[in-house]
Amino acid sequence: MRRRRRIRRLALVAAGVAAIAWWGRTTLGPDGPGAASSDAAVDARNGSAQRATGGDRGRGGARGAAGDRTAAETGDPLRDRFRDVGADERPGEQEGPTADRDPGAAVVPIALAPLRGSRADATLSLAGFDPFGPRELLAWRIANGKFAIVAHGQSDRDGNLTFPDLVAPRNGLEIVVTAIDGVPGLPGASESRFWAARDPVAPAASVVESDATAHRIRITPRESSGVVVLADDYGVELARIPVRASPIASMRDFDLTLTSNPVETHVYLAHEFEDGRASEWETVVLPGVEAVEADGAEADDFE
Amino acid sequence: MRLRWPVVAVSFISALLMGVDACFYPIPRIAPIPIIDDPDSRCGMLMSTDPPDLDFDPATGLAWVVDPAPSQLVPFTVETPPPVLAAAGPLAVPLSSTLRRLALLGPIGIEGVSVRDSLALLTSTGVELRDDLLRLVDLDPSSKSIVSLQVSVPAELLEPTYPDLPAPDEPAEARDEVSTTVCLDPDGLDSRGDEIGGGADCAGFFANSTSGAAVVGAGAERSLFVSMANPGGDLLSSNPRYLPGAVLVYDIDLASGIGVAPNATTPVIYTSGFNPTQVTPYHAGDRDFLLVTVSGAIGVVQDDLGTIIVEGGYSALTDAAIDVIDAETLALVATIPLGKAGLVGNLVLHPGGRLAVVGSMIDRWLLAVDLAPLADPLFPSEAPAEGPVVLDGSAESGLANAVIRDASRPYEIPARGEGGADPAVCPGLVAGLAFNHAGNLLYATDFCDGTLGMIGVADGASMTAPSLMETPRVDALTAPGDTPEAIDAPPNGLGGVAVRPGDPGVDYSGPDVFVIVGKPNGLLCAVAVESGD
Repeated sequence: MRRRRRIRRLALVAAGVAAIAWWGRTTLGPDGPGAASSDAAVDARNGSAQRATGGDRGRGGARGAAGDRTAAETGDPLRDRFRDVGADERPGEQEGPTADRDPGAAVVPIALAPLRGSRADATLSLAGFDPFGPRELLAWRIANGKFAIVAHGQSDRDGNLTFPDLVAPRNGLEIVVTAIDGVPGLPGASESRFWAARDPVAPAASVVESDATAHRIRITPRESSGVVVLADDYGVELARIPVRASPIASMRDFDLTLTSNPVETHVYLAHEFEDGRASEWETVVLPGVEAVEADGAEADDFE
Repeated sequence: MRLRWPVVAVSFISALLMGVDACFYPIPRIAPIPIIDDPDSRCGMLMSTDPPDLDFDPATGLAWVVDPAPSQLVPFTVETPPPVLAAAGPLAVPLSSTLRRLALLGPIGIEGVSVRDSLALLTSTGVELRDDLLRLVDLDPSSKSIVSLQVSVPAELLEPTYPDLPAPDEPAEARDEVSTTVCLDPDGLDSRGDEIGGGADCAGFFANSTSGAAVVGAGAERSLFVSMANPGGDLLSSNPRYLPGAVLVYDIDLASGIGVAPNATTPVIYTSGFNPTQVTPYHAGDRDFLLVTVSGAIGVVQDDLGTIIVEGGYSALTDAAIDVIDAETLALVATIPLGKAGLVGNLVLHPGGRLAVVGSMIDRWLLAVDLAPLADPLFPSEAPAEGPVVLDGSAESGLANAVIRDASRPYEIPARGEGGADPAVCPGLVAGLAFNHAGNLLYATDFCDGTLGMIGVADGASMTAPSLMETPRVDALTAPGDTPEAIDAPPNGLGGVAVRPGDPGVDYSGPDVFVIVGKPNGLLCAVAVESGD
């Protein structure tokens, strides 16, 4: 029995060391992108290792019972998840030696719900359950093998999380929530939640000049990178024009001269990113042609 | 292609002696600013990359970012880093046009009239060429909205024609925006020296590319000025066509339902040069003026196919200037010539009110003017018959030289050196400018090198000798990329910069300078320069 306990203790210590080593390699390794900076992250990691004591564990134990009670009352799936955690994983119910050695003490992590948001205004909200509430929390953004704080929040006595809404960046988002003295990847942190990258917005365009030989189209990209793709009525790609990056939006506009073709009624524009994401097709009706499909003939022909 | 993440280098670059303005003054003690990374705990996330504008609302302390995709204005609280989305949430703007600039009006202060304190003008460029718009937005979190306007055209105003406004004999219509599409038919030539020509719908051309807006005056009835850059064609070529620049003049009545109508007597003022990109209210003595940043025609440096790298940058094709319009007489009374400077429309006024500085997009240049002549009793209020007074110190005007730094002698922000952009690809572009609260520092972001420069300003408090001084420059924020191999992969540049209103360390604690990092993710980053951490 005693030997089994020692093995179990060693296994937990080894797991903790492995977790820290993994994070160290991904965030702080000399070859990793995090090697240059991220002082905040480094500080947070060191601070976490030093600060994590049995204090949280004691509070957690008290909250664990409250969390169960609330979950039973509300039927919240996140709380149900916590309720389903085995007794030996619950805060305050770990066996002494293991709890004493485990710096996070909160083996039961914060439960972060899938990110909910609005594609329309590119905002998203965080929700979930903190078994140790009330306390101060941090939301972290993880990218490029590094992490940084994106918002301060808190949990209430019932474990509900309160954070300001976040702006969802174009390239997507990975979020983890921890205690104020925690960092992603260490015990007690939530699992990652993801917000998918969005597709680019199609450029705007209008025909500036037109005669028997050519059309001049002015194109206003709504994105500041990638390429604008021009295709004809038959889906044949006519041009790919890199968007000129500039902090001055008007300096990204450009004119394109298109040789007239009497058969051609429309051309189509889309915006593509380097990673393959692409906008819907924007229809440009060429002068002299009835604009019968102007509002409805965008993407289908080319997908 | 792999893009290196934005980083911030901190290095003091030895001062360059610039000559005539040199004199010693106390250089603010500034702690080194650590590198900014992505992700970084000082930066809030933005939806768009390279968002075009950033401004503070002094009434609420919120920072507002113009986010063109999706089309909205996004408020951030900035008390503690990182900046986070304010509870009010974004203000959505219909995607009928592409958002460009936000100009807060500041406290209106009309006696006996209740006017909201967080009004701002929002310009946008049309999806269709005849769809340029100007909106008035209320940025107060409790009433955040696009303000409905009563739009009309004076009955006596038959020329020019406004195809998208009510006809002159029609009553005012309630609208959420004012069309800035107007048929202009000026005398003169385009930037290439060619005839302007015309079309079936318009004898000349339709004004386009709404670049700036400002309200000038006191009382309820004021003048609303809108600058129209009027690019004509071959954009992004080495020799684009620019049509004569114009400032549209509207009357705006802030008291009675906010009515807007083109000015009946002077609906259009043509600028002294091409490509007006900004309008700025200015007050001297008891007179109100409008400063117009005339950027001049700007071309794009074309790639030399014989080299591996993709050459880029911009070139100035025609002269730039700061035009001065008398807001009472609506006359273009003076111009301050700056040469082929390729101005960015980011002119900033020193808190003392006499020095104005504007950046260049053709190099790492700052151009500066002394506005003291505008307070001179000799300064004209009517348009001189021979054309606007040229404030270059020439004897004819009898007015002092307003030029401090022009294209022949710009203030050059030192290049970053190692880690900076290849000068052949991106030779420098001053994307943002902002004075600090005390007026003794000017912050300048360089898109190409990804640096935030801090330039000391001499005698900023007394303004007895306005000038840009040589200082040790701190390369604060940088966002360099790999050497670009394609035109769509430039250095990860910085965009706008704004200073939080108030005296740092006195009126507030926490970061005082806010900058936009453009790529690979749009970020709004908080930097504590004077306020400490």
